[in-house]
Amino acid sequence: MTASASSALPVAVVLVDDSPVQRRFMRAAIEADNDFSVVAEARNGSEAVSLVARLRPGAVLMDLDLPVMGGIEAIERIMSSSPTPILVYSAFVGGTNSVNALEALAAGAVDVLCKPGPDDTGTLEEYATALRRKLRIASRVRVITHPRGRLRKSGMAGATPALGGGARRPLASPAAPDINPGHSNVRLVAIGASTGGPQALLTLLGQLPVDLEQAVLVVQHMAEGFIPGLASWLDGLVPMPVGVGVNGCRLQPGTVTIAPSGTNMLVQDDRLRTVCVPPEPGQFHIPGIDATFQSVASSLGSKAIGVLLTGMGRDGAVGLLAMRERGALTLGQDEATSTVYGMPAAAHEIAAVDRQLALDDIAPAVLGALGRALA
Amino acid sequence: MASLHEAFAGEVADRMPRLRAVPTARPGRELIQQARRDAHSLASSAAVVGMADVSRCARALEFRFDALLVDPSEPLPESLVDDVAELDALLLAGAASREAAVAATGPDPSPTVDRTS
Repeated sequence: MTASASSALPVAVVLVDDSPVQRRFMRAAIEADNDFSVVAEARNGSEAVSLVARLRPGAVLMDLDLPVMGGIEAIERIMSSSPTPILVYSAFVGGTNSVNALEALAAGAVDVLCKPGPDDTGTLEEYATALRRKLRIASRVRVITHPRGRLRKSGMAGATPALGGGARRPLASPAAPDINPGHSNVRLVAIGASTGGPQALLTLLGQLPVDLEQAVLVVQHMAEGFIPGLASWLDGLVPMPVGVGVNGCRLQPGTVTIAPSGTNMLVQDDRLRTVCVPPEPGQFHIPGIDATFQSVASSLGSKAIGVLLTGMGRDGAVGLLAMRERGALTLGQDEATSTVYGMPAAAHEIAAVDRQLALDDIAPAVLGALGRALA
Repeated sequence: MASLHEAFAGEVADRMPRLRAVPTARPGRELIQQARRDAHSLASSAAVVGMADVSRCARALEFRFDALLVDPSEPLPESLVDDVAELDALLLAGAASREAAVAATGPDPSPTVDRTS
């Protein structure tokens, strides 16, 4: 693990881009804020890995399309040897290219931001402001050594699903934690995640079998437009089919439904019918985890399992508590394996969590509670 | 903005000779990958300096190279000459337009971004 932003000193930032224009713009944007200091520039992924190992900056701002060593590999290497908050700044992370963003997040990047394009109406100053805002948040994330990098280092990279592989097989599971298998009437597993969520979801859902008799509903905080990419990306990598929910859809057993952007997805009844409702005024995270979890508590009571994964803030904690109070089994990701131990910590603090577990232990715990043998 | 334009001119001087040489070069994966990267960088950088036409043209060229990477041993299409020439023409027009603007209003202030704290 590595410490992030200091309150007294400016955050040291390494820039990574092969374009001098982009590096000059990034530097001007970042150094317009006295809280940041650019300490080095790298022109390719290999230089970035070396510079980060040597300088141990507080944050990295990185393009993905890099010569010599590509951005995804550079992120994996940095996160395996010198974990550092990485903000990806690339032309191809939005819209139809959101799979690139998901790959970067799965490799360990904290967040992504799209570079300006020819048809964008925003001004450079607006992009500079967005860069500083995202970098400020990213630099405060306490990152951990990344699992994919660890596996690659130990020569076990094959144990992770290959991107785009699409094999519908579960990963090898660790031993199940001691969870009482008294939840055989469960109809739904509800999962909430935020920063670091895509990788955590990949790990968790990758261990759930395709013949799961329960439906899975995921609420992942994500910018508008990225949810379809998340669904498509996960669908190619985990055993169960993954899709984006729509208003009025009924959640299906053995299927992962991801709550859509811009709305709160609620479960209406124990037949797992859903409804999408507008967010509350002032609601910060959309889709909201609390709203979904509270609806699950009301409609399913003990016939649900709630899981709150890594993420900044407190969304999901109150909803998870409601689920627990209605008899649902509730699980929270532990600090050691969370990219950001915010939401699970908030849930733990208010006694919303039955069991706090390492990420790798959550799926076995869910299966154990359902009385399922591990794969 | 002036410093960004200066950097962009340097990037054009670095990348365009390689792109101009592509249509007559021997096809191969390495050549096309480098050309794709040159077009990609020019597209993104042109967007930063406000040259939207150049950015669109370079992006289209990048996608052409993407398609060619499916089978890099195939002969390069003759139309690549016209595509690169169009990018050249847009760059020239953009440079002339900027020179005219600078002559009329003076150079842009630099740095481009105000300090916030």
